[in-house]
Amino acid sequence: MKKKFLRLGITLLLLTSFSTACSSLGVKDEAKPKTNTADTSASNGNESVKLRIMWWGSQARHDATLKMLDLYTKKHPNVTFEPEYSGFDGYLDKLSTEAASKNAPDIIQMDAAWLADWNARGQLSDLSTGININDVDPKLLETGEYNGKLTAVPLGGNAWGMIYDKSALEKLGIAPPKDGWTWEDYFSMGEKIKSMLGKDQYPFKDGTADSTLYANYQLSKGKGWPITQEGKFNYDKATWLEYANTFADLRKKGIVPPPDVQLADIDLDPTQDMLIKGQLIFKGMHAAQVSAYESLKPNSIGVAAIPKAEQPGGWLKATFYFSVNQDSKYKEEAKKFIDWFINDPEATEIDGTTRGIPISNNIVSVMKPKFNQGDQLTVEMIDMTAKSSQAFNPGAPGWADFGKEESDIKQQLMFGKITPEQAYDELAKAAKKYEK
Amino acid sequence: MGDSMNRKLRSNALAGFLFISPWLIGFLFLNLWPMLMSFYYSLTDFSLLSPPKWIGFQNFMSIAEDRYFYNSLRVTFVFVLISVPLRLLFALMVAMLLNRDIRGISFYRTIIYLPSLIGGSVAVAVLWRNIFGINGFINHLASFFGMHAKNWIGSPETALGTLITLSVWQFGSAMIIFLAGLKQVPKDLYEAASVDGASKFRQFIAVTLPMLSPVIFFNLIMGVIGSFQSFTSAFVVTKGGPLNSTEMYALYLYQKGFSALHMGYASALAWILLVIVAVATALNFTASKYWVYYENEAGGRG
Repeated sequence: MKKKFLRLGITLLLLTSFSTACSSLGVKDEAKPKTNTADTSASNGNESVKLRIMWWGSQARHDATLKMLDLYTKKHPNVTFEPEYSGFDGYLDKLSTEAASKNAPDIIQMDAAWLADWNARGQLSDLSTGININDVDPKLLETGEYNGKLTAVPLGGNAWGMIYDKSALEKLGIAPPKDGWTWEDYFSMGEKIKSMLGKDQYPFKDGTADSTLYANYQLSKGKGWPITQEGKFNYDKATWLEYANTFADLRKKGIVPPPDVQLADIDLDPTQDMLIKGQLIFKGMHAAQVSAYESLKPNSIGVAAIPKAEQPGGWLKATFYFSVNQDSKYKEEAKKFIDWFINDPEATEIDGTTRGIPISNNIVSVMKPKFNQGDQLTVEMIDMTAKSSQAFNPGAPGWADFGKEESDIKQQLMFGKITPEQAYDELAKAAKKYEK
Repeated sequence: MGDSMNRKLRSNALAGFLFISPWLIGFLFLNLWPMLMSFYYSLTDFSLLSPPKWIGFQNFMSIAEDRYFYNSLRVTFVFVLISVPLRLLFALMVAMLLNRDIRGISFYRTIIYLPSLIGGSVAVAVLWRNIFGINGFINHLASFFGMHAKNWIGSPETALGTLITLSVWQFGSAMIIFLAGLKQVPKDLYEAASVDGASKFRQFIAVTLPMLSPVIFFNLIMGVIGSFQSFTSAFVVTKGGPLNSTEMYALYLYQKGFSALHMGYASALAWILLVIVAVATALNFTASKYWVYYENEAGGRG
């Protein structure tokens, strides 16, 4: 009986332990000398090379990327690919596990939030040379640098803004949000709309547990990021109470959905996304996802910037990045591929805006006339946000675990188990563990 | 002569080891080695990506102050204490229904057992998520009775309940074992009981239950051990939410290990779970002396 348990009980740990066991038995060392020889031989471009590449995304992005890989192989017959792709859920878990067993792909799609930790461990190789980055906005490029070296090449321009159900607003006879709209506009529009909507329809979601929306709110009040880039707890108590009480009031009046209803909302899931199902008018969203909404709800998506107060609430950022694994045997080939990926007109045309607005300004000007409705909306949201925006903060290194406690505390508030004041105290207490 | 005896013994032993070597090698490398490593990791700070750093009992001390640890313990105990008895009861009832002599009974047995073949899989968990979701089947039923639509897996009060029903629904393997047990109960005991004028209910209490007690005990042990490690349903259906009301121990362990990359901490959690399950099993064995009746023992205890 006990043996049975032992076998089952540590199944989760078994894989890792075993792979670590392998590396300590010398498998890892064997790979080292190969690195140098492969690097030099790869550069003459004739030896057959198999690049492993990993990304996350929606079906549209998968289709486009696979087509690009085919095209690249057609042009460089010696290079073939082994793609690994999935949705965002579980992507980092898988990547970390592969990295732990020294088996991470050569080319990795990375998120800004992970760069600090990965760079600190020296897992990303230097991409400063070998890739043409002259047409990339230096501000975006900077976000991929670490200690003066480029370790992550941004793949697209992105913005954090709002989308809304344009046709529903038109039907209600409500004017769409204007440039430079404020939080008062936002909340009062919500109250007005709700009275015209059906029982299961809502203007927007309860923002109590939404840490991104709260960051927007606090930034717009000129109080900075709730957690600063340097890793300081910076929730402004008065701003937080104002925000939490506003939503508590909206929740009481039934203007925002009850907690259990809004927890069922899953972005871009055709059967679960409340906006696509016509149960929600506004939603915070990345510009890079707008075209996906447009394709699921054709001709009825509008875009807006995040509401402002004394200061703007939204920000511009790179969608995400390509990095090259430090252990890769084919670094030069990987760099060549990334160069082609962001600069080649044929390649970028296939990719379209599935990775946000193309990162090369040169490419954007070539592509602009060919943009479809969804692409245009993406550009529109970025332009609206670009008028006045905040500097993006990818999150302080070492604070990844705080997110769980943060959302846990805020959910307790949303379900009415604690008061906004208690939530603030708990957040401050939880943050103590992470402040250095 | 003694010499050749010795040689023979030795070659016998060698042959024995050779014969069990597939199991032995599997045990050493897939069970024992990872276990020893996980024990070592439980005493280290290990992020998977950099080499482990020795920190002694620091992990266990942090766990003692970790409110998510206590929460996951509470959730897991509630889950085990409710789902295991319910599932056994359900499995036993179905087994008794299927133990009747009616036409086409083997057909019914097959049909009822069939879902169990896919019982613990991700596919069923996904199905469960849809059934209890806000647009799910349950809410369609509820609307017939004038009840308000509710997100069963999104409410802290009901989320764990949906996982418990999923666990009860996976009664198939326990049911098969019960059915086999019921077939072993000698018919003449029932005949004797009915001659003595015992009702069906009395027969169940006085004959079926004692005769079946070793099987019940077996199912109980397996059920308790399995439920303590329950992972898939919580991972797929609710992801541990809402309000961590379904964050089971194994799920918390997984999150610590693979999402937060605290593999040392996760290893420590795994060892605590081992101790808990071992204690629970030992308690079960001790208690079994008072209610499990083995036929070959002289004198009943039932």
